[in-house]
Amino acid sequence: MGKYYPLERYLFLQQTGTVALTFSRIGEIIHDSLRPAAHAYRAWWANNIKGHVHAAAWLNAGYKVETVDLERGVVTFAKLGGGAPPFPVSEASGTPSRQQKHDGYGKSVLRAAVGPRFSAYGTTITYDTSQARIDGTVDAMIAVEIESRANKQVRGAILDLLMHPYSKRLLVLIPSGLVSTWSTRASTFYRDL
Amino acid sequence: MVNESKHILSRSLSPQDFQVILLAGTGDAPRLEVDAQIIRSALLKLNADPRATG
Repeated sequence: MGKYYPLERYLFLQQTGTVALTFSRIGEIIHDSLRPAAHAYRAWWANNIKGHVHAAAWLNAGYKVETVDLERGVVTFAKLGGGAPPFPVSEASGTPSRQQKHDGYGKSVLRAAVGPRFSAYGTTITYDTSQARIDGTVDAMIAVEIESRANKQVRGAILDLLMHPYSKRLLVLIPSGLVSTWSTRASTFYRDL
Repeated sequence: MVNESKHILSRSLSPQDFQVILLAGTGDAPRLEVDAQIIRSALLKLNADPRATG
């Protein structure tokens, strides 16, 4: 389990739009002290996962750093809600898109369910001219795919699952962009395959 | 979509080798405890020990 996962879990459980925490309180939450850089450099608190892996703790929880007061040792997180970035957002910005936010939630749920037995480092395999990538594994034997987008993307996730050699597969769907009905025509098509 | 996904996977896999689950929460409206239990139940059906260790 990552050092900052307890902070992610803590923020997930907050219902307020903003959460102000002292650095020492964060230390209590993560059962460890923040790195010296967190006390010295504002850049450490950037809302950018690139080069700041710890930022995933608040971004995955649906929060961003609003303000940071290095002198007082206080950081204020603000919920990514109505002000959330439009979908999709350029990866170059480092700000999570809605899809990344939902996928991050899926990974947090898996960590909450089985702890470090879930590895969020999925593998990629190449077949012919394409690649199949999974979102993670449980016990290194169950391939996990998390999908929150439209049905077409779900079918792509299924293909990725099938291409990997793991003995078991778990498809986790998040009800954000999924179409709840399955047309009779599609049903007939798949039944006749 | 859950049923469709199960249907597609069942074309290539035995039923005991896959699970398709729909979480209750989202990144915008998390329901962490409920969804963690959904995950544990699915893992149990895959014959994986659902007990969290961390």
